[in-house]
Amino acid sequence: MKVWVVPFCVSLLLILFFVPACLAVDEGQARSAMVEADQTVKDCYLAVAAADKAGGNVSGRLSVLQDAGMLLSRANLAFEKGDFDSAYSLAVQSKASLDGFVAEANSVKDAAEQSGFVDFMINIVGSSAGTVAVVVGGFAVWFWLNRRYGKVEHVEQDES
Amino acid sequence: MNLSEYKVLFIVVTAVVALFVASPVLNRVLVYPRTGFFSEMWLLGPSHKAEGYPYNISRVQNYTVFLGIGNQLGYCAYYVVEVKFRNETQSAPTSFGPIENRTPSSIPSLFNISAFVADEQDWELPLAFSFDYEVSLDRSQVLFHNLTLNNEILGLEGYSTAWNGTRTVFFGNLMFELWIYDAQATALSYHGRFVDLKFNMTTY
Repeated sequence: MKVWVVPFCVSLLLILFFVPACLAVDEGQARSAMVEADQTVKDCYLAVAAADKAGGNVSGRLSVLQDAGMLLSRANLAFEKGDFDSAYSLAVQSKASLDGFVAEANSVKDAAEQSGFVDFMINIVGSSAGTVAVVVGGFAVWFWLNRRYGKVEHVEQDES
Repeated sequence: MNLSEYKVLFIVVTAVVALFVASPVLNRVLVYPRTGFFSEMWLLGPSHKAEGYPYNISRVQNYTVFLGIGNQLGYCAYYVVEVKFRNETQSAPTSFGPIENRTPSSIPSLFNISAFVADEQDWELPLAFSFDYEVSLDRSQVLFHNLTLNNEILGLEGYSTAWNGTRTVFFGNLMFELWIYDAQATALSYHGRFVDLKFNMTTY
């Protein structure tokens, strides 16, 4: 047997024993990932709630948030069971699934606010102004007709 | 031509046109304002009706119910449903008194289900569950191992229920408590609502 075989095998065994232990996620890392994911879910909820309040269609966004929330719930469950690797992985997945979510929710909100402004101008301001115009215009036309044809009637009555 | 003969017709036509033009405003102004802001929570049986709820539970047998939440709060809500399981002697959520004074069960949650529901929208989730348990040798109590809920295995080690001779059941109570995220307090708070299923854990 060659001289290098024994040290090589021992080194290999040591690597196989220690590397997974080094790569494994500890409780603190898992907890930290879960706290981050939880905060991301809450931030995204606030963004989507603002978009909903502005009148935007948020059903698609809510579905994404729902999935992220479920991943976080599963991360919590894995953490309770002491499976920190799964807890970490699920928390990271939850957070990753919400990448760009706040920006998208904000754009839905902006679009809804713009559409709400146009809607307000047409349906509230336009309609109110139109109603006033119809009533005032009606009176104006009536008075104009009265002045124009009312006098003719008087003249006709005088001539007869 | 006598204009006064057309006066009424002129007024009516003007009024009709004015009402037509004003209809978008009236549509919003004349709507009775929402006064009740609340959340609904329900549990339906396997046929998606309020009937046929599982009661006599067999070991490792699958059962299905539907859990629903309705949001009438006036804003998009972030709900969390805490799943809990108890026997007769353990704490249950309170059911009486003003809803804001009701308290949840003190036992820890087995699993949390998040639900994000837009205003005036409903959310529903089918729940498939089964219990794994055994009856003690003297047949005086049921010792639980776990609850499988939508493929998630929830540990029930240490949970047990004693034989109730009066009701002739091994009583089990699966509860779903509704919690809501309070953005101002940045925390979840109990929303005063829960639904539950009461079981007889049978020995077969």
